[in-house]
Amino acid sequence: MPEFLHNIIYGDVTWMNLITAAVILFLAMILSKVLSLHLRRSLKDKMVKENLELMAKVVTYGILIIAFVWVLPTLGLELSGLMVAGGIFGLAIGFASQSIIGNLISGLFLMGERPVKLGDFIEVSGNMGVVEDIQIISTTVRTLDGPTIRIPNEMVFTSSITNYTSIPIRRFEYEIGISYADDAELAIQIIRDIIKEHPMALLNPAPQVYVDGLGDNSVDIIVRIWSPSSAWFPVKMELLWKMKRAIEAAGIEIPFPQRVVWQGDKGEES
Amino acid sequence: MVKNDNGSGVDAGTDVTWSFSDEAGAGVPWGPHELPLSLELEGVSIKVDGAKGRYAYRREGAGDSIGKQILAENSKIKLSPAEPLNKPSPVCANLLIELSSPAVIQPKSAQTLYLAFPVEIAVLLEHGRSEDYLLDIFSLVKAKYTLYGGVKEGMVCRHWASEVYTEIPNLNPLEQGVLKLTVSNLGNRWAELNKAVFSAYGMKLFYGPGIVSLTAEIKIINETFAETSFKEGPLQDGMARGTELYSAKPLSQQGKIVMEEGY
Repeated sequence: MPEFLHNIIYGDVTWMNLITAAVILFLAMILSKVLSLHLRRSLKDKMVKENLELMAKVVTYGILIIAFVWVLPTLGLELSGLMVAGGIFGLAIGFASQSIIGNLISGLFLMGERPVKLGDFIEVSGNMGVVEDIQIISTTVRTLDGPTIRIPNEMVFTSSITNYTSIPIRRFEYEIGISYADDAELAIQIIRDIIKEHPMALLNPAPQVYVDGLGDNSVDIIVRIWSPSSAWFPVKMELLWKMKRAIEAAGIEIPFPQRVVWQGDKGEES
Repeated sequence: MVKNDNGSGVDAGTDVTWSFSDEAGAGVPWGPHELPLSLELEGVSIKVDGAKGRYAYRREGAGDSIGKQILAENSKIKLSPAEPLNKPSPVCANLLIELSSPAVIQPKSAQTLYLAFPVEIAVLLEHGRSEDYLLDIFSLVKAKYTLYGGVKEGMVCRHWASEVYTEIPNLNPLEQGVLKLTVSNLGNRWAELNKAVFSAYGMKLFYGPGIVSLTAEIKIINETFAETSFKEGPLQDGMARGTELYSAKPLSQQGKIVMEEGY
């Protein structure tokens, strides 16, 4: 064994100790990667994705923390000494890393309480998108137009979160105006038939179709439809146009805004 | 031309036409078929043209059409009934069968009913002992989905309304299968069965030339609580096992459904 390995770098720590610590940390990193990868592969079809991701992260961070604590004495850092040092530096570190610690603690609460899960479609702090990753410090959301947004966990945890996929179904609504001269009951029946034909327009809760108002330009029919959360947007996109075409095919007019102007007779004026 | 009344497939290059209304009474050409082939099933055309390891698959009808290239030698096309939860897109793994008229069951008793359930038709590629590949799937019946339970905790289900039969009904096996349902009322009160929810994880489909079947049971525990599960085994002798697309069971799925929101 080369002699220099026993040379002291600082305190009682030699090059040998340093290399041993580095090797242990390196092996721990590899082990954590291999184990989390193995977990992801072997339990992919058997566990819900977000639970699997959480488990993989716990395994990864757990191994790294154990390895880190293990090598501390090798590097001449006794845990008891660290606790004393912690007392001295804690305050300074606390001030310096206030936001990081806040995000970290919020991250732990997020993973524990799980108001959002991977794949959920959420709106938080004005950002709407699909949750792609929940890390210990931040949450990544992919917005509808593509880019990802990294939101600090503290912001996620302290903001009001709208989770659109936490329930199995979701409702959407249309307002369709028809001419006063046309038969609203016929229009309602046409709309109901179209809803009935669509597989993803749920039978229960039943759709609602009714005259909701007598507007300035039209008789307003409200249409409320429930659909599976995973399919609601394609259904919403598809049905309105079908309704429009079917209503017009039945000779029912969907009127433009209009104003009737009566012009006085010139003869009467004079 | 109607061939293949034993459901075991036909020779290469043959044209097979099958319809439920055909009085010849021959069965659905389930099972493996040599390539190339041409099938006409209730207005759905399935054609595989080509030779020497390069084939073109084309299916037209059942609301859409699909074309794929098959690069394979010594492979066969297999037709099999499949769980009715894939079309138009797989959004859930639960089937809710609503009885056309409620069945009232006396306390502490068990009765057997026959219901209808929708069938989807899987077109699989078969090669030796390797796992079959799902090439295509289609359905001749319209799908409709519904929610069982409340908005927050409910289950999205494929909905099917069925008549209640006291003996095995004669149904078009390309459209509907026969569900033999054993209803056990374990409670001390009369029970009225209106619907039953089943999990796709655990469906054991069997088919014969003229029938597709499932066997299941529902245990009614009390006024609002029941449990459904499927049983292994065909309804009649000589039936073959259908393909199971929902065989990889997640840990959260046990193949049973606990109906906590009434039946």
